[in-house]
Amino acid sequence: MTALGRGDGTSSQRQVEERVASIFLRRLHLDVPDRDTDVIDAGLLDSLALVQLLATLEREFSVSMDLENLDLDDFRTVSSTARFIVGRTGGSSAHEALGG
Amino acid sequence: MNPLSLMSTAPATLEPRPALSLGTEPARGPSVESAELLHELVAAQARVRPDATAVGMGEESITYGELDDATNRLARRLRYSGCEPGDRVAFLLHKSIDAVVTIVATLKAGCPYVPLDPDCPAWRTAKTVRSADPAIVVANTGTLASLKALGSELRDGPPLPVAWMDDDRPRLEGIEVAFARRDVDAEPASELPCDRNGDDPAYIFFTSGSTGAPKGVVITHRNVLSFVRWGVDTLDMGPEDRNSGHAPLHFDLSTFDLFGSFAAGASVHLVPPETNLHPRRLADWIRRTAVTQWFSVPSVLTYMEHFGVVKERDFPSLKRLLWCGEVLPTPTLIHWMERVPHASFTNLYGPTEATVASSYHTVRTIPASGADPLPIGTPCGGESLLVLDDGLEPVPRSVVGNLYIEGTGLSPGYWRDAEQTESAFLTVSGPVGPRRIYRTGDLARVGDDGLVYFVGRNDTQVKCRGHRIELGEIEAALCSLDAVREAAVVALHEGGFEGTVLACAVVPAHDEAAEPAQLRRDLSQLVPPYMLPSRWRVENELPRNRNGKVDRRRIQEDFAGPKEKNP
Repeated sequence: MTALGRGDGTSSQRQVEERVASIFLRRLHLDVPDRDTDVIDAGLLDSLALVQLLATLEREFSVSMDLENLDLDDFRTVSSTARFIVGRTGGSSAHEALGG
Repeated sequence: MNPLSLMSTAPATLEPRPALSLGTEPARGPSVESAELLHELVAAQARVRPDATAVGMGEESITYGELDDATNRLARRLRYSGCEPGDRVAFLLHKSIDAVVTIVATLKAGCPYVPLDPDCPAWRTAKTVRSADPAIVVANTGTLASLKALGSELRDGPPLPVAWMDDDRPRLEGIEVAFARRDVDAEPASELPCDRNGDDPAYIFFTSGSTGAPKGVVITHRNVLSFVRWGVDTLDMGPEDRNSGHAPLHFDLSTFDLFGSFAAGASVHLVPPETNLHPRRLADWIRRTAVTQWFSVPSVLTYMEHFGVVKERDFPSLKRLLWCGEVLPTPTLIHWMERVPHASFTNLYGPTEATVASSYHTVRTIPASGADPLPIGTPCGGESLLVLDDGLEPVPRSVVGNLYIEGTGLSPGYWRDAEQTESAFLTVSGPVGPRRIYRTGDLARVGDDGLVYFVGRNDTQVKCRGHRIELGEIEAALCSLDAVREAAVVALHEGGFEGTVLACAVVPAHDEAAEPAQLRRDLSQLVPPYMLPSRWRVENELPRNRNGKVDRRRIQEDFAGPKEKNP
């Protein structure tokens, strides 16, 4: 994705995807087959897991979520979730996250 | 009448009744004639208001006249294909107008209905089907994948007869299509005589069983009619009402959504399940559909609160908000009462074994503090709540005891399980003859205000977002996995949105480390999604107490502490 308008957009997106995939696996214990799997259609994400995901993303990427105006379709896949995060942070958190 | 009597008598009123003691006469219920049958509610409305909407979902709806005709046709076809009165008819259908038609038609054919959850793994649904032993299973294109998996599970037995509610008949292993939609449409719409009576079963709902096998709760026409009659009267439901149908059709509160509406001549509007994850769409649905009654489990209300989707003076059409299935956090109730001041707020309580609900409490003023507990209240019409000690003697006020239920809602027992029936449904002697009481497994106390308060459970059954779960069923499924040597599942009470959360401590069978995500995936082939633990720990051994039993409290503490490691 270069829609971010940044030269390093692609690598940021990839790094954030890895981090998001790790959150799904290690924090939510969800085995997501690949980054384009629709976790809602696949029945992996219920309301409880969704709320946990949002809280974990807020914490791990230091983004704040405006819950009232959130489009939950942004969190249907690992890649769309990463895109949301990159859009909010410009990808900077990916480096922090990898460092930590 | 003894003022301490826990019994309630018809007519139902909104005034709280005094709590009772087991020494008084058995409760009397709303009057239901033994000849009255549940499906006659539909036929009666079809005569009075044939053009009024009975059921709606999305852009589709069906009038009482159409519902009566469609259910007569399907009832005839079920009968023609060999369903005898008393045979079970199961259905594997998503929530839809077709599913409602199937329910009513099944009753008209003289058969109890058995709802199957399309989201449940086939392995477990097959256990339910083997136990229910249905004459036919109703399915359609929407559940083709689930039906295919079910047929595959059952392939060693005789083919499963299927009523196919679409036209293109599928060819599936283990399945034999008995008839399809066009065969139903060819039947006459005239009424089919039904020689059942009110004490015959209307449905069998299978709930989680502690040993791993789901157990069937048998509920009669009279059980449901008694509750419905009380509910319509007490809640003042009428033909102008537009009621929500939020619960899945395998939840027993769905029977009040349907038959309560049919008794009142109201319409029931099925909430599309795909809105459940989208609180804003759920709120939009309530506004757009202009429902006058919303009835759901509490977690839906906490979820909508969490996302802040309820605005000031929202949902102007809403007259009543009802919830049951678990404890609603008081702060959530305050949040809703402040924003929807024009609605009434009623908590219903009761296990499936006592039909939808056995007690209720209408909250009249906004609680002063979020720490105030909400009572489960006073008995519904024809019901009694008994708080007893181990010797079945009433405990004094404020003392915690075992909660028993007596009255018109009591199931005749578990399906083909005399042993479990005997242990949960007790016959005790009273001054005017034997009395039958149901041991809920809930702990309760009667407060100084005379209202009953739920305190907890005396076993390992938990409620998780409205689902009733036996932890033993999850443990049995886990232990059947090759990778697992031992497992313990506990409930954590997190409060707030999370409510009750399932947590699992597992000891792997082999030396190599087991991955929780993989265990969870394997477990998802055996139990429905709502039974999958969300927190996991892999341990070398489970903590045990002095008697060698698994120390569940210790496991709960381990999870609750700040010790869960970050990845």
